[in-house]
Amino acid sequence: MFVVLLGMAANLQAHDSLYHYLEVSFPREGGPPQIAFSVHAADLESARVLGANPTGTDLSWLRNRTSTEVAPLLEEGRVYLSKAFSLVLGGKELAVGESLKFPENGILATEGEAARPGFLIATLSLPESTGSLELHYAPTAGKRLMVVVNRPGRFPEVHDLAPGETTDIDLSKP
Amino acid sequence: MKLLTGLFSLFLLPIAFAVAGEIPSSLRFEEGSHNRVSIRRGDARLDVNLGSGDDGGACERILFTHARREVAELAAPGGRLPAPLFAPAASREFLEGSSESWEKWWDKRFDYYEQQVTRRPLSDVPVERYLEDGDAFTWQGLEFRFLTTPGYTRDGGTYLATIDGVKVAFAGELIREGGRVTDLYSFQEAILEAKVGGYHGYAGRLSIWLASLEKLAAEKPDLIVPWRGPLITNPAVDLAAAADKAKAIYRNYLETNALHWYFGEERMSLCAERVLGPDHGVKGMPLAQHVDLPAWCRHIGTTKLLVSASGRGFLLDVGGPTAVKSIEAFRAEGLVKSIDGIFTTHTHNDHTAAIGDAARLFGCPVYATPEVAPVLTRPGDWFLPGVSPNLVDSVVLKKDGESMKWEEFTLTFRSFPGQMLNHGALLVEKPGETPVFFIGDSFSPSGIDDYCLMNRNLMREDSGYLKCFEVVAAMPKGTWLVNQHIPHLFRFNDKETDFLLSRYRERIAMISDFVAWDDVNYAIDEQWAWFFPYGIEARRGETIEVSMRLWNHSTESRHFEVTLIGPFSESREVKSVSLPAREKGAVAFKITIPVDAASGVHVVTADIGIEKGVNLPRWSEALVKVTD
Repeated sequence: MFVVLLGMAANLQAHDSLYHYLEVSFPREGGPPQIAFSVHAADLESARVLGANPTGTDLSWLRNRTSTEVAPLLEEGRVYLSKAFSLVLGGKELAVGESLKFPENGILATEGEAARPGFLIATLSLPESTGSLELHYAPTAGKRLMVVVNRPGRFPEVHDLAPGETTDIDLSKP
Repeated sequence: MKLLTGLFSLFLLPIAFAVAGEIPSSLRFEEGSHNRVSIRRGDARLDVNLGSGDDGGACERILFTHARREVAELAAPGGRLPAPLFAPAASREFLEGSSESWEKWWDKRFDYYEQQVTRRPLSDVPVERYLEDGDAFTWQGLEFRFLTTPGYTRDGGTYLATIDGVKVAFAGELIREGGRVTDLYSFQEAILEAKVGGYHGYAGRLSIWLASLEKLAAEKPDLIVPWRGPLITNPAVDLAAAADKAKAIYRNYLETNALHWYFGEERMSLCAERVLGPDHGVKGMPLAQHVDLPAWCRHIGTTKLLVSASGRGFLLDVGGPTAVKSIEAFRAEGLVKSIDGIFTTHTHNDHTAAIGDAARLFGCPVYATPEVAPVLTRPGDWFLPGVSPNLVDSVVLKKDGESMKWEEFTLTFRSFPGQMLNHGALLVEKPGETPVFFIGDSFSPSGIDDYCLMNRNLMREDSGYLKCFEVVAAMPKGTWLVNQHIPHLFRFNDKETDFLLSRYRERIAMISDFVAWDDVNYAIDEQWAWFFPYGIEARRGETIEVSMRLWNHSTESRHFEVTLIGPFSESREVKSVSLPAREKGAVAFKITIPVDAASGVHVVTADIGIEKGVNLPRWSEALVKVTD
């Protein structure tokens, strides 16, 4: 179901920077959902140091970065995401920064259709729960957040948050 | 008559000034659409950009204030110079690598969001010395000091010299007489501090332009010699006036802008601070009422999927292959039975890039209004922000106001020149429900999506946002609006509409007073004169046709003279046309590709003349790619 979340137009360049994106996907085969966070690489200071344009940074820019260049991008991405999002499940806050997993090469967005060009993707697996996930979006995040919840056999559910807002995601109905 | 105030209103009066106490006697100045400027010392001459024509003297040095095509091609036709050239260091990117740059431009023009004026030179120009800020040099005993003064262009510079006791600033396009500039679109630029890219960077170079004005004001020149139009004989007054006008325009823009919805006050405040200072006090309009989308409208990125009661689907925009996959997955899962059609709101690639693929996959027609349809089927003919090179096989043209039934819905197609000129909208009416007007990217709950000055947001009653306000006002009371990026219905109440519209009208008046044309639209519409098609592939021996499309934005009839230049010979062909007020027209030219033409990209340009002496050399370009 990542296709749906990440299916927000692979060729975006003009407007990618308007929203942050986050996707909650329930596996078709059952089990706890996974969250995919995306960060536009060019929004990160370490990318800007490398000459990235805030809206012009696309797949080829990211693909042409060396592993040495990608390392600080990923680290900054991890820090950024942990500051931008806090997740509360069953009254307990999840450690976003520690739980995030980036793909081995650091860039999921190299597969053309897998993600929007120029974005870093990180995933977080949620523990089993039938409750509600509280998602808090930091007031300092700098742009709106689009949360897309993918449940098998249903249209995606969209939550549009301004910085500082919170939304609840029902985990009881895959 | 005010044809083109300041810049163009004086219609090329060839005057050699020698006004005691104001104009140095050794300064030769011929005023026009582009000024001719020289300094004489005995038999020796120094030219600033284009030298004075009739005064003779041996040219010993040329100074460029910037490196737009008209400067380079007039002063150094074909890259040939009569004397050594000094130029701003920032001009190097325009004066070198021309051939490679134009070759790359063939592809780079697609999906393009940097939004820079494309009037770069056609050939390389040899530079004796590139100058950095503060560099000094001497010519014939005159001391010159160079200041970087970017803003209107990225590379702008000013030369200061005291000539015959008068402190003169040769400032290029930095400023025009009366505190004006030539146009507004040249200021479009990324605002890195606020993480705003070139596409969203309305007048993004204003802050560095204001700094340049201050820098020049601090030098207290007695006289400013501009690239265009009259001499500036009271620099302090005009510099201050220019700054005040620009700040008022930018404040107005920010207060009515759609980006507040996306970026919030903090980032917009960063933008404001750069131009208006830390105590700017700018606030966006409070967000308009917005509610969830109805269940029959699904939000998928920049695509909206309408689902009928029977489970059939109708798409608005398809921006990429993954959106297609999502729709395909919905179909496979039985969430929609079929896709019956696709409507395209406008021609940016995040809305169009996969429309052709989607139409082929789903076997459905593509609908578009007349402003959008031709860009989808022949994208290479156009140069617009973010045009995708991906072809749509065929488009069903829907005229403004035409309706059709689809399932339980009535769909009415509208021309809607909002976010860009090539823009439509779709009114969707379902019995028993409040109508919903899908307006592409033209408004957000915080205001107007006019952040890109290359989008051709005309400021005329019959087009642009004024037309959009009129169309929305004529909708059934309470009609909801939908932006393709936003998963909400929203609508402006009367007070909000009055605020946006009245402020927008104020901005039109402000910009009119800031620019040097008789009608503001020449200054916010880079393509009032443009070649169609923009890019043509041709074989040797083939004859192709290109048209210069003109839009007389003036409120009086105008006579236009178009001179086609190149690319395969030095001969020039002239054609003219008279256009009534506010009307469009075109003149066509035929070009035969020589049998020995080199493979690759060749650039055709045109001089545009408007009656009463307005002459805009090398104003427009088209690309001819010779293929084997």
